[in-house]
Amino acid sequence: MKRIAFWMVIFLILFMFVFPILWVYITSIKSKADIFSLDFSKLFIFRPTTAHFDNLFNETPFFLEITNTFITSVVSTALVMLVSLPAAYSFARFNTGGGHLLFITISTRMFPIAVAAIPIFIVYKTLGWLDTRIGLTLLFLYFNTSFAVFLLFGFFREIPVELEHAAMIDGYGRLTILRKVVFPLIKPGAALTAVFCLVFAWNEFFFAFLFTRVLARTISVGLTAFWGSIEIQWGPMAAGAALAILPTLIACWFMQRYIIRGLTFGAVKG
Amino acid sequence: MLEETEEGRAERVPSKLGAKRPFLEKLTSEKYFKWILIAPLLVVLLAFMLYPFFYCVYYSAHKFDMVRPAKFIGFDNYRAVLRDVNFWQVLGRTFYVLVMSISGELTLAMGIALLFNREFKGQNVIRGLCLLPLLVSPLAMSMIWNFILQYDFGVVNQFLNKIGFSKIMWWSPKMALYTITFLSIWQWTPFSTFVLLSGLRGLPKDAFEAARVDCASSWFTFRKLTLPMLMPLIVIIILLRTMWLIRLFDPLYGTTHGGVNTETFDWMVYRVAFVFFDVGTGSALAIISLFLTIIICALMFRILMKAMGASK
Amino acid sequence: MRKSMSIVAMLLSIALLILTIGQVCYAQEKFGLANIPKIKNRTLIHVALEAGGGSDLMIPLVKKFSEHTGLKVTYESLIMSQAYPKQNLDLVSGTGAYDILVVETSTTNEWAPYLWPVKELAKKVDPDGLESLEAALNGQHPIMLRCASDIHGRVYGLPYKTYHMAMFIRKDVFDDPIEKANFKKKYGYDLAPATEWKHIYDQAQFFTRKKGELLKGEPLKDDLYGGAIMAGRYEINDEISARIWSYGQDWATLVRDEKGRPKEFVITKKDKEALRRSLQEYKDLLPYASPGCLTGFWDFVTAQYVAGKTIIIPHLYVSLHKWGSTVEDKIPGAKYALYPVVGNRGYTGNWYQAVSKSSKNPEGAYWLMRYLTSYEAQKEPLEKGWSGTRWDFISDPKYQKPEWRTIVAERSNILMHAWKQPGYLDFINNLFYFNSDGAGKIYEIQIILCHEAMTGQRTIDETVKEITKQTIELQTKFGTLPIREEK
Repeated sequence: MKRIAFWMVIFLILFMFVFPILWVYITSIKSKADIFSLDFSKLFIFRPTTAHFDNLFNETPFFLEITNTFITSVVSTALVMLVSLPAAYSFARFNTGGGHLLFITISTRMFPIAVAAIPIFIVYKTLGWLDTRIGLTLLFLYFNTSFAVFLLFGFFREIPVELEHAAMIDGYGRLTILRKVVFPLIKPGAALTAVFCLVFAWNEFFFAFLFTRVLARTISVGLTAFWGSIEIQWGPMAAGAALAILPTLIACWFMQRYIIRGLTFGAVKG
Repeated sequence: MLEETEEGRAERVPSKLGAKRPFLEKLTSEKYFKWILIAPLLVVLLAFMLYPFFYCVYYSAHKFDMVRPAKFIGFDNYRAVLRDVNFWQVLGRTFYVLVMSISGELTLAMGIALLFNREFKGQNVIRGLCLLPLLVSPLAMSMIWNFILQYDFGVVNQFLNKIGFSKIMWWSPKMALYTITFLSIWQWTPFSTFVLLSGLRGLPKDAFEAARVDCASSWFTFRKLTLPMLMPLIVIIILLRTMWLIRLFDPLYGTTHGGVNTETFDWMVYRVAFVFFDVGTGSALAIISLFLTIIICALMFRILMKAMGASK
Repeated sequence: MRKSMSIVAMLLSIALLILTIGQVCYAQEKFGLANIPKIKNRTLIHVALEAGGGSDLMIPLVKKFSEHTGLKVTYESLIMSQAYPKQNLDLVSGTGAYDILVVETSTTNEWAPYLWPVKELAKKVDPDGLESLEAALNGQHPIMLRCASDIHGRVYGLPYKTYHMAMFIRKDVFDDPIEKANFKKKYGYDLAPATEWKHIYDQAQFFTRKKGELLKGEPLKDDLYGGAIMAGRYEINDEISARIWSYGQDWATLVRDEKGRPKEFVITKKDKEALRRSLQEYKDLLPYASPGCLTGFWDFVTAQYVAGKTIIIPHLYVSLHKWGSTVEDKIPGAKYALYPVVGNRGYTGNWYQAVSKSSKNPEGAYWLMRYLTSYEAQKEPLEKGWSGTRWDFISDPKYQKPEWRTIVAERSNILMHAWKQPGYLDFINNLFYFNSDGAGKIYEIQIILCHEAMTGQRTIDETVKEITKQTIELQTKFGTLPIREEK
C-alpha cells in the first residue's frame, strides 16, 4: 500500500514538472496549423514535421548562439568556482570581515539589474567589451558570484570543524588540510553550486540581451526573438527551447547522481 | 581517518616545515590566510559593484534621461517615488507573492527531498527530470505558459472542458497574481529541493540509527533531528529566494506583461529605467530597493538564527 | 443620337477613369541591385531588423546585397518591444553600433537628432544626388512618408511595413440570410459591416453565443465571441486611439501658430470626452469578447478569428491580414473580408529604416536601405502578403484581379480607401504621436492606464484624469513642445 502511494506521488510530481516541457517538445514537431487548434485530440495525435528545426538551423544563428552560450556559461562557472570556493571557506571558518563582508557580497543581488546595467554598459563601451564573449563571461561572473559564495558558505558550515582541528593537531599544514580534508567533503555541495551557476548563466537574459548583438549573442536572446511582429513563431521557439535544455539537462543529471552518491560523515562522528 | 601517505608523513614534522618554508608558514597563518582566500572575491566585487553603486547614488539625486544634461534635484526623486500610491501597491504585491512563493516552495521542496532521499527504481532519471523547470529559458517558458494557460487555446482549459469542467480564467484580475506565484513555484521548487536533498545526504547517519533503534516516529525524527540539522541550509534557501523573489520578473514577461494587477517591483524598475530611460527615478528606486532588501534580509537572518538556536 | 451620346458618355467615363488611375498610380520605381554604384566605403554594416516577419523578409535581401556589392553586412533580429530600448541605449550612449536602425513612427521625433535625413544623406553619398532618391520617394505615398518624418516634415527613412488598422469580419456570416433576418428582427436595422460604434456593440452582442447554439443554421462546436479585442497590457491604446480619432479628437490637440508652425499641445475638453467615451464603449465590449483578452494582444485575437471563435475584429493591424485570411482554409465556407475601421481613423503608422548619423559607413548603409525598400526587393514579399508600404504596388490595378483578393487586394483597398480621404494627410500631420518627442514614453503609460481601466483597477473617469495628468507630466519632462489642459 505504501509503495503504491509512493509511486503515485512520484508520478504526480513528475507530471507537474515535466508536462509543460513535454508540451515544448511536442510543439516543436507540430505543424503550424495544428498548434493553434481547438481540437483537443490534435494535442497528441498529429502529423509530425521537422520544418521548425529546419527553420531553426538554417534561418537563425542558432549554432552560433549555442556555442556562445556554452563558452560563456562554462568559462564563467569555472571562474565563479575559483573565486567563490576560497571566499566561502574563509567566511565559513574565520568569519572574515565579521559578517559584514558576507552581507555586502550578497547585496550585489539586491540591486535591480535594470539600473545596474546602465553604468556597466557605459564602462563596457569604453573598454570595447560590448558584444564580446569575454565581456559577457565577466558579467556572468559578477552575476553568479554572490549566489555561489552564499550557497557554498552554507555547505562549508555543514562540514564539522572537528575534522580540520583533528588534522591540524596531527600536524598537517593548512593547504594540505584544504586539499585532503575539506575539498573531498565539499565536492557534492560544490557540484551542486557549479551546476546551478551553469544553468543560471545559460538562461540569463537581461545582460545577454543588452550587451550582445551578433557575435556574442546567446540562446536566451535568440529564443525570445521568435516573438515576431506578425506572428509568434511557436514552432521554432519550441524547437530552440527543446534543444537548449539538453546540455544543462545532461549536466544536471550528472550532478544529481553525484550528490546522491554523496559522502557520509557517519564514520567521523562515531 | 586520513589516509597516511608518504607526503603526509613528511609534512607531519612541524619544526622542519617551519624552518624550510617560513613564508608559506606565515602566509598560511590564520590572519593572512583568510584574507588571501577572499582576495579574488574582493576584486570582483570592487570591479563590478563600485561604479554602478556610486553611479546610482549620484543620479538618484538628479533628473537625468541620458539625453539632456543631468539636473540636480536633491531628494525629489525619492519623494516622488515614496508619495506614489502605485509604488506602495507594487511593493505590497511583490511581498505578498514572495511570502506565498517561499512558503509553497519550501514545503514542497522539503517533502520532495525527503521522498527522494532513498534508493528506488529509476531514481536517477526521475530526479534528473525533476530539474527540468529550472533548465528552460525562463522568458521562453513564460511565453509558453501564457499559451498553455490561455483561456481558449490553452491545453489546460481544453482538457478541463473535455472532462466536463468549465474553463478557468487563469489570468483574470483576481487570479492572475496567484497564477504568477504558481509559475514561480513551479520553476524554483527544484532548486530548493536539490539543495535540501544534498543537505539530507550529508547528514550523519548515526543519530538517525539511534532514533530508529529507539522506535521514534518519523515525524519525531523529522522535527527533532532532520529539521534542526538542516536549518543552516534552510536559512540560506530562504534568504536567497527572498532576494531573488523581490526581483521577480520572468513569469510576467510573456504573460501579463505587468498588467492584470500583477506588476512587481522589478517590472516597475525595468519600465522606468528601460522604457522611459528615466535614470534618475530608476536609480532612486534601486537605492530604495537596496535598503529594503537589506533590512528585510537582516531581520529575517536574525529571526531565523534565533529559531535555529532555540530548536537546538 | 441617343446611341452616340451613350457611346460618348462611355468614352468620357473611361477617359476619366484612366486619368484617375493614372494620377493615382505612380510610376514604378526602376531601382534595383543593378543600379547600385560601386560603394567606396568598405566598412562592415550592422543592420537592426524587426524580428519575425521583418527578419524573414529582409535577411535574404541583405544577403543578396552583400553578394552583389561585396560589402559585409551583419544583422540582428530585435523583437518589437525591445527594438526601442536596445537601439535607444546604443544611440544615447553613442556606441555607433547600428548603421541602419529600425524605427517606428512615434519614435521619429525623439531620435531625429541621431538620424540622417534621407535627402541630406542622398546629397552626400548618392552620385545622382537627389534625382534617384526622388524616384524612390515617389514610389511611396505621402502619408507613409509623413509617418517617417519628424514634426518639421523632414523624411528620415524609407518605410517598409505599415500597421494601419482595419476591421476584420466574416463576410459569409454577414451575408447569411438566416443571420440577416434574425439581426433585423432583433435590432431593427440591416446587418452590414459596421459604420458606427453602436453597430459594433450590437453585432458583438448578437454574435456572442454558447456552444450548441446556431450560427448560419448550424450548431456551434464551441463558444463563440461576437468581438475580439486586445485588452492586454500590450497594445490596447492603439484600439483606443482608433476610437478617439474617429470622434475627431486626439490624445492631445496640436495647436499651430499663424504661420502654421507647431506651438503647443492642448488636452481639450472634447479630447477628454472622446477618451472617456472611447474607454467606456470599449469596456462595454468586454462581455462579448473572450475572457482571455485581458492578457491578449494581436496574436490571440487573430488566432481566435482564424479558429472561427469570433466573427468580428473591430480594430486590428492589417499586417495580420495574411494570417487572418487563412480562416478560409480552416473553416469551410468562411469568407474573410476587411473593412475600414469605424470612422476610418484606424491607428496607423509604419516601421521604416533609417541610417544612423554615427554610422561609419553611411554610403553603404544608404544603398542597403534603398535596396531593401525598393520595388524590386519588395515585390515578391508583397505578393506573398507582406504588409509593405509601397504605393506603386498597393495602387497597381493588376492586383485587383480575383486571384489576388485574399493575399493582396483586401489590404490594398483598405489602405487606398484610407489614404485617399480628403483631409487625411492633414489629420496625420497633426497627430499627437507624430509630433511629440515624448510620444514613445507617453505611449507606454497609455497602455498601462487603459489596461487598468479594463481590469477594473480604475474607473473610467479616474483613468481619463490620470492619463491627462501623466501625459502632461511626461510631455513636460521629455518633450519639447509645451502642453496644457483645457479645464
